[in-house]
Amino acid sequence: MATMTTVKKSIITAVCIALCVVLPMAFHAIPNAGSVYCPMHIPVLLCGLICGPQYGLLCGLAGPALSTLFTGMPPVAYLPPMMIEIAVYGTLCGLMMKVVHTKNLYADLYVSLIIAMLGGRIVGGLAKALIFAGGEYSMATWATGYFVTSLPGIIVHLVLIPSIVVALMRAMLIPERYPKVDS
Amino acid sequence: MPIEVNSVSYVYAKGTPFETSALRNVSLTVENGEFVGIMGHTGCGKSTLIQLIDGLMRPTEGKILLDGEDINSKGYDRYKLRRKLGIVFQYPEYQLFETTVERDVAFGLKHLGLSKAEVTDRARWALETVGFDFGKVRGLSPMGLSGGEKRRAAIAGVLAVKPEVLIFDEPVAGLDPLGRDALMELTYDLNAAGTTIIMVSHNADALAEYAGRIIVLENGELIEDGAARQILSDVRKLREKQLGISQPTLIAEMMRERGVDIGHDVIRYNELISRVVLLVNGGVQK
Amino acid sequence: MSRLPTGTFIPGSSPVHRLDARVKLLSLIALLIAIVSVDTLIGYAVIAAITVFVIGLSGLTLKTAVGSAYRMYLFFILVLLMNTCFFSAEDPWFSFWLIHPSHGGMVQGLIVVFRVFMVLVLSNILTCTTQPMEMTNALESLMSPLRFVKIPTDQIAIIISVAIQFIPTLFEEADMIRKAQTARGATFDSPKLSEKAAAVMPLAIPIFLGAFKRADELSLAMEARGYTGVRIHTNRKKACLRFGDYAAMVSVLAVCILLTAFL
Repeated sequence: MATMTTVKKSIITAVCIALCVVLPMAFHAIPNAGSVYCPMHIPVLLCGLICGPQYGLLCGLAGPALSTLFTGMPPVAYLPPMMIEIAVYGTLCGLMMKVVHTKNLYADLYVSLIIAMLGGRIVGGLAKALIFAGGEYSMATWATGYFVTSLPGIIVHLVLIPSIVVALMRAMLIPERYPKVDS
Repeated sequence: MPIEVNSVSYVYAKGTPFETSALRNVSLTVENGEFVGIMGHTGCGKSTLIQLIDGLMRPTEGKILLDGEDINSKGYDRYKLRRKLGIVFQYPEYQLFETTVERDVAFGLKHLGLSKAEVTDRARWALETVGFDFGKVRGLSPMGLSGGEKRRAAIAGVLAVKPEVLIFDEPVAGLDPLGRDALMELTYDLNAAGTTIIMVSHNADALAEYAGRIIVLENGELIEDGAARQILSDVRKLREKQLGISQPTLIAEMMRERGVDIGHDVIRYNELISRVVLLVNGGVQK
Repeated sequence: MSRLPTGTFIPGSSPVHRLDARVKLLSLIALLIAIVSVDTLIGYAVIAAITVFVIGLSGLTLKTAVGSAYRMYLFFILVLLMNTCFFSAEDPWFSFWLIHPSHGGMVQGLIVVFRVFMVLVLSNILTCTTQPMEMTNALESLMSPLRFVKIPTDQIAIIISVAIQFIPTLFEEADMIRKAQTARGATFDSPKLSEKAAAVMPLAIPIFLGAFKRADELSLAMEARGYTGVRIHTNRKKACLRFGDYAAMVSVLAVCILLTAFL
């Protein structure tokens, strides 16, 4: 299987949306899970990487929304900026995977993830600035707040997500990006 | 190494409109080396009970004691609990996650403080006990194994810790008859070597062959606790409670109905066969 | 964590529960616009009164309706403080570096808090009285005009309904995996950053493997039944709007227009 059908991509997106609700609850027992592991980001990033930009976008919008609906986390007030930020993650992941083909799976994944996470935080930061203080948000506060606290999260994601992708490929649940020509 | 369950109750979602009582005032004791079977309908509280025994949940009331110590008390060494008790959940193959089979099996050994060589030895022993060729399987990805192989690898992961007590939740679910027999033989061997076995199962045949004691739960309450032979041969009661009945027991009942004096306590195949042989040789007809 | 929270929906049979989800959604949007446009004290009082009226009509307790909004009290305090101190108004009480608290700032802060609070309470009432599937159908229905801009609303609706139905299953599976790995001694966390990712893998990887396996099976089953993702005209019975729905819609719109125009 070289590419997945629309149906398969749609159902994978559905499952990732459901995981946006389930994963934060599963990680709940881990202290500081929310701020370091950012469990809601993981399914969206994966969805974008595996299925493509439009699916990543949908996952990023619907995931947090359903999560607020079902578990009350994130609280409704934080939902719009979060939706924007996470939707950008999903979309950029998908776009970058379409554009970047270094013949090395890990390289593709790292580039896509880093650009997606930076892009998402920039856009998310702008969104928060507009909503929270109507323009009074200083660049310095935003930059320190955002990057410093989420650096551990970025590193964790960079290690975790490629491992998940590889495991899925080994289990033949998603197609290999660069199939070995000689079996 | 007795396990004591003292008047334990468990309520889900306490205080919310969705409050449900899963276990009500259950008490039992498991002694060293026993092979205990737990039977009951879906929703009777079997899974809740074993999860409480393994310290994965706290009882809403009552205590769970291991070797006389309350496992939920402050300061109780959780790692001691994890060393002594191993639990194999239903469809354990879903918990595989490592890059190689050897790594996955060795995962549970992390907190034991063993040397690298010891860890490899344990992994080898565990994988060979479940029927693998260690050399061939150790470097393979767990995701690439067949369903049955995955299950055996997952069980090896629990065995590697060499726990004194092994709890199984529906271990033979989804296995073909050969796989079932192999697994039950394995539990028998472990029990013979001294491991206490607690097995939740619907499969009356399996329990009849191997369990020494049976516990029956219904709607969160313990309604039977006694010798396997006594409970599993009481066909009328088993039917009443809609519990599984082992094939030999059913055959014996059919024979009794037709006037054959096969006795009232046959629950195992070899017993059935030897009784039949006895009767035929003794010349008793009809 | 062993029991799935059923979300914010609370079963009931109040008039609000029985309103068509589309009416509720549109009413909420209308009220949101009104809340943001109104800037007189009377206007705020009217909005508060409407909210109280809807709470009463819905049969929810005050605690439930206000609950999630109330839990944001830290956020409200922060917003109030920030507006009091940083809002540029004439005649501050005192000036220190960047901070210049003023009466005008405080009022502005209170207005923002009030607006956000109202929005939260009204959204909460919506989610408490509407089942997730109803909302998905309502959203699909309302968004169907987007089809003309090539947005596949029906595919989106299917994806979301499948997602909703997967939540309980995946939750239970995640719970079992967490318990199984805990029983093997996993702690899922580590003080060292370099080990944090590895520590959470016994939880994350099986969860994703299990979820994707289900996705694989479901999509195979759907394809085997001829579903290809291309839109096929379905004769799904669309819920009809009843008199009550129209009445509610019209009254809400009327009130909102009045509020926006005059207050």
